Amino acid sequence: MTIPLALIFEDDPKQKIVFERALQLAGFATEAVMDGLQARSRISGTPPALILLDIHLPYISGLEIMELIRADSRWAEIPVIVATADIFHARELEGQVQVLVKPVGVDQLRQIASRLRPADSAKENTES
Amino acid sequence: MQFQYTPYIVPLLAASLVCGAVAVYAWLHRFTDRDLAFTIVFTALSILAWTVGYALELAGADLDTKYIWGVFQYFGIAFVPVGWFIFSIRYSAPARDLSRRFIFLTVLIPSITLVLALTTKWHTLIWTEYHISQQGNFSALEISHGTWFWVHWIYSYILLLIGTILLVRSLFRKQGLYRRQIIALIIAVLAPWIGNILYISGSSPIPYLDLTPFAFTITVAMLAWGIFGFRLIDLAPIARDIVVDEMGDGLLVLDARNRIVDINPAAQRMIGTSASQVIGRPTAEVFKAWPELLERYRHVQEVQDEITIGEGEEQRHFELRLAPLTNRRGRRIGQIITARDVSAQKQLQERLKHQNEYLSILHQTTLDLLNRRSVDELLQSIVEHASSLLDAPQVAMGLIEGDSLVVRAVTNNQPYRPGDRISRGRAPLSWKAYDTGEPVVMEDYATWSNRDNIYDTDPPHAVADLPIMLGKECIGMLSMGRTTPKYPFSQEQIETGISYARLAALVLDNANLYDSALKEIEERKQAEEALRLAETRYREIYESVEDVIYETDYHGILTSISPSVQTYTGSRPEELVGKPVSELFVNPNDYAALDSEVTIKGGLRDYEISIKGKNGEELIGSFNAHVLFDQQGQPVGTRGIARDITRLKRVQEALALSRDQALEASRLKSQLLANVSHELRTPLGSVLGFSELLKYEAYGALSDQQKGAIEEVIDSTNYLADLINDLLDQAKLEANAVTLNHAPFSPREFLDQVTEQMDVLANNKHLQLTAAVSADVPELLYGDVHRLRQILVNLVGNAIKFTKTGKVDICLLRLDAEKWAMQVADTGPGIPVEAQSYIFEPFRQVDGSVARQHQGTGLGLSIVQQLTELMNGKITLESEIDKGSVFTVILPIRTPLEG
Repeated sequence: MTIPLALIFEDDPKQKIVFERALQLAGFATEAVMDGLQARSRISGTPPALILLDIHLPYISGLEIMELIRADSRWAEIPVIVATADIFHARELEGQVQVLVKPVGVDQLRQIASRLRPADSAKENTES
Repeated sequence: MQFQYTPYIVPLLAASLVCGAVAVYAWLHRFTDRDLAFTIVFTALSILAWTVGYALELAGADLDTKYIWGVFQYFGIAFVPVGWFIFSIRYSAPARDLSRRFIFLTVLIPSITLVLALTTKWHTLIWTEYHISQQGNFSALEISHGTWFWVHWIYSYILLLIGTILLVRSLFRKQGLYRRQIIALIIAVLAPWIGNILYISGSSPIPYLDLTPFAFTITVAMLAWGIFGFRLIDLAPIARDIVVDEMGDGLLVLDARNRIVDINPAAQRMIGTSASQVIGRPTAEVFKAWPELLERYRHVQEVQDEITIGEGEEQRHFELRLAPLTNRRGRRIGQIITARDVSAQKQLQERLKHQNEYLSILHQTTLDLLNRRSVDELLQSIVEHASSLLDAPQVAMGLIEGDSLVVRAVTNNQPYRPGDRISRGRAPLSWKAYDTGEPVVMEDYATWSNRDNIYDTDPPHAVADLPIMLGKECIGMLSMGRTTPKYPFSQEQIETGISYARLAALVLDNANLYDSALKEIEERKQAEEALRLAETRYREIYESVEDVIYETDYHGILTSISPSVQTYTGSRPEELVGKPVSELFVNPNDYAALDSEVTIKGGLRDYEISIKGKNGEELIGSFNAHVLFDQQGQPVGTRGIARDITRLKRVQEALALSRDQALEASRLKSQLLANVSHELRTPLGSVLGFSELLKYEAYGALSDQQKGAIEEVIDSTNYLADLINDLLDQAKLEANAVTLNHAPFSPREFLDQVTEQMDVLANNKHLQLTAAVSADVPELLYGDVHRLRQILVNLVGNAIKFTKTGKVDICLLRLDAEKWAMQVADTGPGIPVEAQSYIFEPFRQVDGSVARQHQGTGLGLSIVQQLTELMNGKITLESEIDKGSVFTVILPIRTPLEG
C-alpha cells in the first residue's frame, strides 16, 4: 500500500533533513518544497496526508501558504504542523494549528506526526 | 232778666263747681296725657255749661229768662255724650289716633243740635212748645220736644252706650289696676245710666230735678280722679298696650300653678307660637323644647339671668327676669317672666371685643415689626394672632416660592411643619384661594372626601383659606382650621380674616423691604471690604510675583506692567508703559495672533510666545490673557499674565527627546531580540535535530559514551532554546511590551493540552502527572490562553524538572465567585523559607548547584510572576523541605465585557 505523504515547506536545507527523517520515522513518505513560489505551484498538485510548514520562507511567507491551503477544498482538511523560530508567530497560531517552536526535536515531531497519520496507513506501518 | 232763689240750684251750683274744678284739675295734668286731659276738660266744661244753664233756668223768674238758660244748656247737652264717647275711645285704644274727620263727624250732629236749639223759637225743631211748670218752689220749663231733639236724643244714647261698652270691655281686659281705680271707673260708667234711670222712673231723690247733669258730674269727677289721681295713665290700658304689647321684651305671666295666663306678642315671637296656643297651658309643656331651662328655673322664683339659646347664626342671647307675683297680702299668686333679646347688644359687644382684639393685634404686629424681629418670628406672631383673632386653633401660613407654597409658620397642632413644600395637587383649597384671590371656606373639612391625609389623625372641621394679597398678587396663604365641630366661620370673621391677611401682607412686605435694605447695606459693606482686600492682595501679588502681569488698552498699548518684567527684559515698567506690548515679542506679529485669539475667545490660556530677553537671549513666555470690559460691557483692553517657561520648556524638550530615544531603543531592543532569537533558533534546530538523529542511531550505532555525549548536546541545546524564549519574554515584560489577548477558552481543554504537552517530560522522568478540574470552575473562562499556558507550562516544567520521584498534580480550582486558580503541586525537594522570598526575582534560583544541575534559565518564575500580575492575579507558594511545593496562581474571573 501507499505510504502517506508528508509535505515539508522548509527553506533551511539542514532543518529540512531533520524534518524529513523525523517524519519518515513517523511512517511518512516526504516531499520538501524549499521556497514560496514552488509551494504555490505544488498546492495545485496532489494533496499530501500531512503538511509541515515553516513560516519564514523566501518569496511567500508560510502564513500566506496557509491561507492558500485553507482556500483549496482538497487541501483544507489536511493536518498542518507549523514549525517556526519566531516565537511571536508561534503564539499567534497556537490553537489554530499544531505549532512547534524551533528548535524542534526529532522525537517531539515524530510523536506528533504519528498521531496525525491517517488511521489505515498507521495500521499498515505497524504491520511492516 | 229776673231771678229768684230756689234751693234746687244749690246742688247744681255744687256740680258746676266740681266740673270747673275737674276742668282745672285735668288742665293742670294735661302733660300726663294731653288728649285725655283735653277730652276731660271739654267734657267737664260741657257739663259745667249744662249745670250752670240748668241752675239759671230754675232760678229764672220769668219765661224769657228760663227760655234763654234752657237753650243755653244745649252747650252742654249737645256735647257731653260726644266728650264721653271720645274719652272712652281714647282710653280703651290709646294707640288709636283720632282723625280730625272722625271728630268733625262726631261733633256734627251736636253742633247742628246746638244751632237748632239756639234758633228753636223760629222753627220749633227742638222745642215745639214750652211753658213754665211750677211744682211747689220748683219752677222749670215744661217742654214739648221737636223732631231734631229726638235725633239728638237717639244719637246721644248711642254714643253713651258705645262709650260704656268700650270702657267696660277695657276694664275687663286690662289688669293690674287698683281696686279703687276700678271702683272709680265703674262709678264713672254707671253714673249717667243710674241718673237716667232715676230720672225716667221718677224715683229721683229730688223731685222734678233732672239728675243727668249730676250723673255726668260724678262721671267726669271719677274719670279725672281715676286717671290723674291714681295715675291710671301709667298702669292703665294705654300703658299696657304700649309697654306690653308693643314692647320688644317678651312678657309671660304665670299663675300659681305655672300655667301661662298672659303672653305678649314679643314673647310669642320668641317662643314661636301664638297666645291662643299657649294661654292656659303649663310651662312644662310650652317649654319642652328647652328642657335645660325648665330644669334650671323649676324652683326659682326671682332671678335675673342671661341665657343663650341656639347655635351659630341662630344663636340668641336673652336677659331673663323672673319675678314673683303676689297679692296684697303677700301671697304668691303667680310669676312674671320677662325676657329681653340682647342678641344684638351681645353681638355689638362681641364685635366691639373683636374690634378691640383686632386693634390690639394690629398694634402688636406693628410693634413686632418695629422691634425689627426676624421675618420668621414675625410670621410666627402673625400665625398666633390670626389663631386668636379668628378663634381657630389650627393655623398654617405659607408663602409662595416658585411653583410651591412653602409652609413658614404654624401653630403647634398643625401637622404641616415649617419648610414643607406644598405643590399643586396637594391642598386644593389653598390653591383655589391662590388662583381666585378670594377666601375659600368649608364648613366641615373632616367629612370632605378630598381632604389631605396629613390631617387624618385630627381633622379640622370648619376651615378657611385666606389668600395673603399684596395688591393684586397673592404672596401666600393663611390656612385656618377649627377643631370644634359645627362651629363655622361667620361672614364677619372671614372679613376680619381678609383684612388681617392684607395687613400681614403689608407687614411682610415692610419686613422684607427692611430686611433686604439691611442685607444690602451689609452686602455693600462686605463687598467694599472684599474689594479692599482684593486690591491689597492684587497689589501684593502684582509687586512680588515672578510672573509678569500686564494690562493693555484697546490698541495693545501697555497701561501697566508688573515690576517683575525687569528680571526678564531688563526694562523697568515705567520705560514700557505707553509702548505697544508687541515690542516685547521676538516676532511682533505674534501679538496679532494673540490679540485675535483673545478677542475671539474672550481669553486664552497657556499661549506660548517668544520674548526678547536680556542680552539678546530668547525667552519663552506662557500667556494667560483675557479681555477687559468697561461698565457698559464694551471691551477696553486686555489683561494678561506671562510666565517664563524657557527653562521648563528646555527640560521638557530634553525629556521628550530622551523618552523618544528610550522608546525607540526599547523597540529596537525587542526587534533585535526577536531577530536574534529567530536567527539563533534556526541553527539550534539543526543542532537539536541532528543530535537526536544521532541519538536514535539514524547514522549508525553509537557507543554508550557517544550516546552520553549526544544527550549532553541535546540538553544544552534545549537549555539554549529555553533561554532564548525566556530572555525574549523578560525583555518584552521589561519594555512593557506584553499585551494580553483576551478570548473565551475552555479551561478543561486548556488543561488537556498542557497535560498532553508535559506528559512526555513526566514520562521521561517516570513521574506521575495528574490533572483535575474542580466542578465549580466555569465551562468557559475569559483570558489570554497563550500566556496562561506559558505560566502553567513553566510551573509544571519546573515541578517535573526538580522532582526526582513521586508525582506532579495540576489542578484548576474555583476559589470564590470572583477568583479561580491554577495549582501545581509536586513531591520535590521543597523550597527553603529564606529562598521563598527571592525565587521570583530574575536569574535567582534556590541554589547554584541545583540550577546548574537542572539548567534553569533563572527567568521562568520571574516571568510567571510578571505575567500573573499583568493579569491582575497573584502567585502564592507553600513549600516544605523534602515534602514538596505547591504553586498557586490566583486569577480574577473575567467576563468578556471587562476585555
